[in-house]
Amino acid sequence: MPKFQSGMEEMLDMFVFETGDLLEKLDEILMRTEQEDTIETDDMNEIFRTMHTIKGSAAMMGLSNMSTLAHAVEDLFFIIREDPSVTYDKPALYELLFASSDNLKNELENIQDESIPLSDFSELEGKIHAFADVMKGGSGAAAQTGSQETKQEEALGYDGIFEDGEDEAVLTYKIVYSQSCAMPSMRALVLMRALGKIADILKTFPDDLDADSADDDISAKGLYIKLTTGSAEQVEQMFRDALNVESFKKIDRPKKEEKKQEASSAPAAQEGAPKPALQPAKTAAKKPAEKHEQSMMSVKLEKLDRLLDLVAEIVITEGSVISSPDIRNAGGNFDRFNKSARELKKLTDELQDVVMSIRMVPVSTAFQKMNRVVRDMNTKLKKNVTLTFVGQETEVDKSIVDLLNDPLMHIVRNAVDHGIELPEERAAAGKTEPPTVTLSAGYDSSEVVIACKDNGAGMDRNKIMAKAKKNGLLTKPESEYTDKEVFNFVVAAGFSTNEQITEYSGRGVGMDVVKQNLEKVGGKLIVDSVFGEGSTFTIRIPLSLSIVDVMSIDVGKTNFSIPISSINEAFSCTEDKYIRDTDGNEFIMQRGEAIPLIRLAKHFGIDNAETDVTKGIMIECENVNSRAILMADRITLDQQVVVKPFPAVLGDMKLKEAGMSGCSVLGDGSITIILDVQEIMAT
Amino acid sequence: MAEEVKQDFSQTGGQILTFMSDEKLYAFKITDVTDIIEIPEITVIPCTPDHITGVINLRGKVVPIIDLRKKLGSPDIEYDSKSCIILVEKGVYQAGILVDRVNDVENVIPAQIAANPVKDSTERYFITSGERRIYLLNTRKLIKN
Repeated sequence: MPKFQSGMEEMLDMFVFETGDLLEKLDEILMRTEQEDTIETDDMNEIFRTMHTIKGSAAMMGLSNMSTLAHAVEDLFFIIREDPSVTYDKPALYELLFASSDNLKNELENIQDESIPLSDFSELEGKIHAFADVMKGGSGAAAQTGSQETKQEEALGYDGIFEDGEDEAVLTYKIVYSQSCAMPSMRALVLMRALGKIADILKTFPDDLDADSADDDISAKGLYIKLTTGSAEQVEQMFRDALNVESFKKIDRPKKEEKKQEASSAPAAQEGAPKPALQPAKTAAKKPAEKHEQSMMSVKLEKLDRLLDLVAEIVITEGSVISSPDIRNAGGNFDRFNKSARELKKLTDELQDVVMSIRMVPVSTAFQKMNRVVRDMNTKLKKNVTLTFVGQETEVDKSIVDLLNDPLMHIVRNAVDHGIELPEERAAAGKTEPPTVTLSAGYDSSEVVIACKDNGAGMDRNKIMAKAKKNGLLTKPESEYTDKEVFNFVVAAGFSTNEQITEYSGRGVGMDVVKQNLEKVGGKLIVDSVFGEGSTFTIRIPLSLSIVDVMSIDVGKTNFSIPISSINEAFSCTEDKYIRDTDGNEFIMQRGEAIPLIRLAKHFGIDNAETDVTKGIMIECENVNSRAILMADRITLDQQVVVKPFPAVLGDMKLKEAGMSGCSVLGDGSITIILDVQEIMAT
Repeated sequence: MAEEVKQDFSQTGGQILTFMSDEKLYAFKITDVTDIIEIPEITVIPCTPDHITGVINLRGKVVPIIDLRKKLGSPDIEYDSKSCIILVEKGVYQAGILVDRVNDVENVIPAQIAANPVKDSTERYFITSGERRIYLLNTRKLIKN
């Protein structure tokens, strides 16, 4: 059986997105209110509403486990909301709430993976119910019995299911939903929609599935559907496939009393949740929330990506139209053309800016998540770390924010776990300022700079050096290493000076993965530290991941492009600068240093390229800690390109490892290959 | 899933696009073919196997080109004006196949189709059409490896 209701696949994205969003907001509220003495009514309503919405949409998707968990939490807040004077153990309540929120988030992540079964939340639900019972004490009991009585009264069949003079072709089905189904009316609506494709639905009992009472009617008396169809078999198959349907049955015209008997067993099994009272609350609470969001709308990221692609293509095509050789060669007066061309350029530039700005989101979304991480670690490690933000309003591309989540998580965990000392140690070191981890964001030239700074113990250069030596990471004499190089060892694979492995870090995996992931998108991770004063991890990522300034070069017949950001200088070489040692290694003397020469033609095995160093062009490239000079035949032009990944067919040909990060279609329709200088230097 | 499709075709038959490469008649299922184009300018990508001629710009999309002769180990020839590229697509894999010339679209019935008993082979079916033998290629295998 699929995890969710068949026919809802297209809703899945929306569900995951919206529910994820709601859970994020919920976390924010919880974080904010945890330290306060009382929960404000507004926040309380917000939490209640959030849980209610999650319950509803999870039920619609047929995810009964998520739905019942949300329901349990909703119940909890229902009690607090109804009776503000009720007393409860706040820390315990928040533990439950965070646990619920985490569980729901996990479930969302796993939802598309068929191999992971739906989680069973009954243990947590049990805890929540127990908590609610304690809280209720006397107050909840009265309302509960009241609601059950009304149900008993209603436990009669519907009137007028079989009218006189009805067509013989009309089929009547009775559907009974399982008791675990949280919102049978939702299920029924979904079922009706699917059913509508293969049958004509004449009437349902209860009549209005949207009505507040529909849930209770259906769970008490079952759902009756009257329809005409070409294929009763198909209809029955659909009933069989529908989620939560316990049984369905075709009911013949003769009026039997049997349905009543069946129905009477239902309410007895009903749980004591004060459901009817909840329904009006839902409609009342939901409406203002909808009004708020009308000026915003969510768009699929895919569509934005497509839009950005298109705009980029337009910008490039525009360039090729305006500077077309046909026009330049035509002679004559082009004043008007030039004027229009300038106008067009202005417009396309603006268009590009607008599209880019649509995708811009403040980094605070990524930062806020760290609050949770630090809070959880504080509870466990008792370090009482304060997390502060600087420049969290800095806007970056959405894809960058998504990309930042993982690295930030690792770095912040590291800072709290390794960086910040235990309170005793701090006191012994004479540190009076509170332990603080500061996340900051800002721009620097065309890069976003995210830094995580702690005022902890800092890193011991000698300790790292010793460890690096032990792990065989040293590539040159010990005395030649700069501080920067030494501290960057800590992000090397399999490196951890922490002797003890804790829950959060110390395994030496993680940071190197973070570093690699950042490097894949042209980002960098830089480590700096002052022993005794703290460490800083800095992430630098190019502002835009898709449009890149490049310098294009020819090697033989092949056109390559090198990102400007990795180029130091391009120059022609004279004979006296060229060095070749006896091992065949080649160098170019630049500013008194011998820099390794990499002939791109040789590197890529290209024939018919320039071999004379004085005739080719030298491009000096710099990476985090190495430099090299690449030799090409000639520079063709500077331009902006849209980097595209190589087609899937070329996916496993190790092009990335060879130093090609992607390709790009130029204005004239030709294709250039984007080089990854780092990989070229590495090989 | 590939197994299923295979079963289907030898039982249902259907339309195929036939083409020549090295004097032999090959075919793709018409459902795998998206377009047939003349040979445009091809950009060579270094560090790729010999049968990957390079990539082309197909309406803004970068599509790799596979030389069928090289892929099947036939002798090289100079491709001429009759030569063309058949664009095929299978899931996320899209490629252009460089062939000597395109022949025809034919309808074949199950009686004409014999499945290749060797699993996962490059030619999936042998089709007998009058005097001729048509080798129906395994598109996925051809473009994925």
